[in-house]
Amino acid sequence: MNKGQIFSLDFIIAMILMVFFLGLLLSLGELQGYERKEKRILYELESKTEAALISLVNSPQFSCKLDTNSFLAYSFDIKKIDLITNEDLKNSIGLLDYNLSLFLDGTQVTGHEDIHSGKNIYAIDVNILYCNGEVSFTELNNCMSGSCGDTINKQTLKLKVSK
Amino acid sequence: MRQNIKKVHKHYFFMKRGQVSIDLLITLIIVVMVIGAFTILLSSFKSGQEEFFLRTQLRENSSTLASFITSTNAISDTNFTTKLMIHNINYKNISKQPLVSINQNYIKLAFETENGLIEEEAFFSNPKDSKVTTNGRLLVVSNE
Repeated sequence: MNKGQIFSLDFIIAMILMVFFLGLLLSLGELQGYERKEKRILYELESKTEAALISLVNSPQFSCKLDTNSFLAYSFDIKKIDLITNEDLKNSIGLLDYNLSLFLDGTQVTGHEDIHSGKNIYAIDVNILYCNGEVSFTELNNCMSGSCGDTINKQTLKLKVSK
Repeated sequence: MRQNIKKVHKHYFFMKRGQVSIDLLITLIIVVMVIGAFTILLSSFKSGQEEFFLRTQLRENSSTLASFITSTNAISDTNFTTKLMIHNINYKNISKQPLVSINQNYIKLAFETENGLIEEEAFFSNPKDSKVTTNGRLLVVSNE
């Protein structure tokens, strides 16, 4: 070391390495935080979608009504869905601030078609009994034994939710 | 060669035995400052992480409770009373029940920290004629 020299080269190198490793440590922490945030968003989307699906296919507000005055579990009345706007539907099934689209056997349900591009999407397919208005017990029995008509049918409902 | 040895001897000639050099002092001051700066940086990072973790818990719990309330739509054609336990929130080695408030269609969970109240809320849709209340550690949804 020369007279009047404050820092040695070793010290400067040690400081640079220390700052470098600290930066690396902080960026790793940031990355972990980001991953956790992503997981949280996905978990929220999953639980919201599942709860919304249960409400949609089991709630008397949207499920098929029998002539015996009872409601069918895991059913979907298209007549009731046609009468409600997508915003009101989202409100009723707890999906406010989310985007929602419904598909029956791959075909989009008219009026319930939000845009999902550039967002986190979660979709669930579920086998349901599709009906078009009130169903008689005989029609239900016939459908269960294999001869479904126009008013009641077995279909796959896809619920696509994004945020 | 002989001249160089003389110079070195001359440099240390002015320092007394046991005297701390100005170089060492400056280095020590810089090292203490750097350690201090790192400590402040790390503690602020840790505190940020703690708050993030707290918010995550509040958000997840409020979301779970909101999903539970929304799911009761499925049994709204019957007389029902459903209960769900409100989980504790962990924050800086403390495990405490969050404050729960229900306002129309929003459930809000709050937790008191040294930086104030941290809150997170979630939207739910409950069946008509049903009531959402809390009873101690339980969230109760009922239409009876």
